[in-house]
Amino acid sequence: MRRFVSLRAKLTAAVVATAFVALLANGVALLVLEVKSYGEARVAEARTRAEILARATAAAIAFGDVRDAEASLRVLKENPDVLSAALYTPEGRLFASYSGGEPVPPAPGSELAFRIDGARITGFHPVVQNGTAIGTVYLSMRNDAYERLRGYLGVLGAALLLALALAFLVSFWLQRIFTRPILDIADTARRVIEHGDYTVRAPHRSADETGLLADAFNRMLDEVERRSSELRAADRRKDEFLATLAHELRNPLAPITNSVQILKLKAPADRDIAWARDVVDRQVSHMARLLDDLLDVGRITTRKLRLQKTRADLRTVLESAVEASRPLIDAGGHRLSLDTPQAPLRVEADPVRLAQVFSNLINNAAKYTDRGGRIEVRVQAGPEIRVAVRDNGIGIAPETLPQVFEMFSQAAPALDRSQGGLGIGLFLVKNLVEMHGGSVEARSEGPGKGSEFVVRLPAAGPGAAAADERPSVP
Amino acid sequence: MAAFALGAAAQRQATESELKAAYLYRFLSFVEWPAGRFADPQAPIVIALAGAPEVADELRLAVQGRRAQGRPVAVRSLAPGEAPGDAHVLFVGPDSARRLGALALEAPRGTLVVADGEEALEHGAMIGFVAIEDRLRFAVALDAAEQAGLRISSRMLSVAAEVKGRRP
Repeated sequence: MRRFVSLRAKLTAAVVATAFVALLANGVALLVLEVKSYGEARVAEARTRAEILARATAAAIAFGDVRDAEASLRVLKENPDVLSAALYTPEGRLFASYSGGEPVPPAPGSELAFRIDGARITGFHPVVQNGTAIGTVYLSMRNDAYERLRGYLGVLGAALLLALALAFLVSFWLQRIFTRPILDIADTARRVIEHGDYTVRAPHRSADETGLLADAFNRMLDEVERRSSELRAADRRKDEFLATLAHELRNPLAPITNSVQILKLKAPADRDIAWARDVVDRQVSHMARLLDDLLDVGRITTRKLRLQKTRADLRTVLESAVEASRPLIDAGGHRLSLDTPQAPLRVEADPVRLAQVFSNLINNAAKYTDRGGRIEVRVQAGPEIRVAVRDNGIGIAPETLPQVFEMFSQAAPALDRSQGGLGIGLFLVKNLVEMHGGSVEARSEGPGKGSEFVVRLPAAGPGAAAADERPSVP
Repeated sequence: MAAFALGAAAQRQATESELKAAYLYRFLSFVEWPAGRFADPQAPIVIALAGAPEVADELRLAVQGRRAQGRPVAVRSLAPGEAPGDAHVLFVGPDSARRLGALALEAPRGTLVVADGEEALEHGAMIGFVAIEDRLRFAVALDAAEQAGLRISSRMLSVAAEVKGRRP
């Protein structure tokens, strides 16, 4: 995942970078222009000075007056920019010179022009009198373009720093305008996600796109809130309906069961009637079990289930669970082994409900195991009692493993359709175990490799009545 | 480029006539003649020399193919007794020094009269060659030149050995 960089930082970076690039380009362009035009101006100035010098000394050269020429050159001392100057005769002999610290060339160069030569501007200029060249002037002037360039660079740097500081301040101001509404929306979204609270709303701060975004976001939240409340209402109605349905269907079963029991008291007239009576008996009890489960689900979802907790021995609970599941185990021809340690297995529990838990797990194992399978119930004692119900049946695919405890979920149709259920057995197991302060976990190596359900329950401490039966903890 | 050497710094020792000829040519660049003194823009500047044959010879060599103020330069040697006529510059050499006053009077208005010696300025010359410290220099009578309608460049005056009649 890419590194999280806040809008604030990006906006600051954008503003500062824009200011920097714009100023730098501007500054460099101005600098280049300034240096170039300054250089040209300095060359032109040197040429003008040379021309003035030529005119002032024309007569001196013409009439060979060295003293006058030198007097004219000495005036240059007043100008610190002039490094040296010289006058030459038309024959190229040095006629007079002024040196402000650097030597003058002994003879004029062939080219009569001025050019920038590092820190100097030097060149030769003709002395013309009435259209006739009567000599040559040499002039060397200080070129302070580099000093000026340094000065400009200093100013440019300072301006750049100042502008960046200003850009930084401006970006803070822009942040208030641009990022605050977005941050508000992001904050609202975070609260919705973290707390599942659909009642919060993003504030509408600005009449622009972020305002529209906030409005759209709020409308979506409205919709989500409306739908989730509808869903909750529908779920509640469903639960109520299921509870009512189970209740209404369960009521007629009691008289039917009683009637079958009465029929059983008398010897049947013939075998067909006896068979039919047994079918009714079997199917009614199966139906009663299903409806009892459904009623329990209703009680759990409406939180009406109450546990009758007492100090109980888990071994007895398991034995009654096995007893309850016996018909199904025998019907499948399975072998069941119950392996419990010697230590007392005391739990604080509702024995009926806990027996229901293990009965459900054993029934489940029996239903999803081929005929003649093996079902093992193994108990490990400790501060936490661990009961594993294991079979060598059809197993559970890894992708469906997380959903096995959900209501109405069946990993696969039962092998014997007549034993099919509603898919609420494991839902009840999970809820009942959790009501006892324990946990349940489903394991399977994959389809065809059997499955294992592990229930963990907190062991109850030795009560006053059983103080002599201290558990031997390994 | 130049056929003659100039100035005190000249390496080759120039003769006096050579220097005077060079100076006479150079004066042309620093002097303005009154309007109407030339017939047309291409009319030559005429330098007349009296009693100075060597200078005249040197001058002829010096002005060959040269121009001054955009005009050709003509050199004329005056025979003894000959009037300067329409010459723009009149040089009176040592041989005719006694006739300086007369020649100066004969010359029309607007003629630059040059002669030897500072005292020549007393006798109608506007420029007089003088030798100072073995160097040839010149003195200028500014009032006389102005009376003749001639304007002498201040730059030339700056190198003159002496300027007389300068207005305060």
